[in-house]
Amino acid sequence: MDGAHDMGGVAWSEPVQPEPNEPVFHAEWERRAFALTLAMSMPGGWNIDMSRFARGLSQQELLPDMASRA
Amino acid sequence: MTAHDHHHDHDHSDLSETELRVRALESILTEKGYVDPAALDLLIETYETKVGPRNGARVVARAWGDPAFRARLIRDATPAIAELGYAGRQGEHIVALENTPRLHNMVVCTLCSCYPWPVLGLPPVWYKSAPYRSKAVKDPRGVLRDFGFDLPEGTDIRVWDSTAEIRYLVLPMRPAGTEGWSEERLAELVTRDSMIGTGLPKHPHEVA
Repeated sequence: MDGAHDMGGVAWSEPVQPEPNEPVFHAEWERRAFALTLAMSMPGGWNIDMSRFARGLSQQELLPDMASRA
Repeated sequence: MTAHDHHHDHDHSDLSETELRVRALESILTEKGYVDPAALDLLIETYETKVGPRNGARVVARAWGDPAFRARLIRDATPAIAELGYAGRQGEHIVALENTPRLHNMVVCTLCSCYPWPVLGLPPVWYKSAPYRSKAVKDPRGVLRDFGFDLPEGTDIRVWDSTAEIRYLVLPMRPAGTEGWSEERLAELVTRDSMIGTGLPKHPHEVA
């Protein structure tokens, strides 16, 4: 899959920007989305490869209806 | 159903599309009985207060003070780390990488964000960012300069690319001037970045 994957060695001029005293989560929705993702591994219905594939999709590929309304 | 059809929140103007979507997702999964909001709270609390780099710091501090533990850690890190009670998700196969005066180790996940959760918690944003993932293997010394330190020319650098199964923990060198320190005090010196390889432990005078 192209896009967000396999970035090793890609030329990149911007510096890495560490955030001092970075919190574990930056927003409340991040907390809930993280916990939902972990919790929903228990009911099953998909495997880790399906999860990874979904994560690699762009916003438009993942949520075409939302992208078209944006 | 879209997030906009979901009317349990009365002031949508203050919420972003993402916030609405996450709320809607939690509501529907709760209604269907797949998740319990109290369990979600517990997961969040666990990763905000219990699973984090303090765990890894204890592992490193023990290795600094206990040669037999250090040998077990280098030989097979996962069971050695489990001796301290740290195990589980995203840490099933951990490899400890020992820094020496001649060799500095640095860990990346060029594909995504693989990281040893039981000892370091969740990865910071920079670890998942495009600049780190692309530059770590192409210009690792430049990355270290982004973090504010220059590796001596005589020290080799080895970059380890994490996989879905194998996660790495860097064992930094014990700072000089810490002879006789307790494990708890030594752990204070161990920074998260020193266990990823993008930083060094604190100097002894930085901790009381």
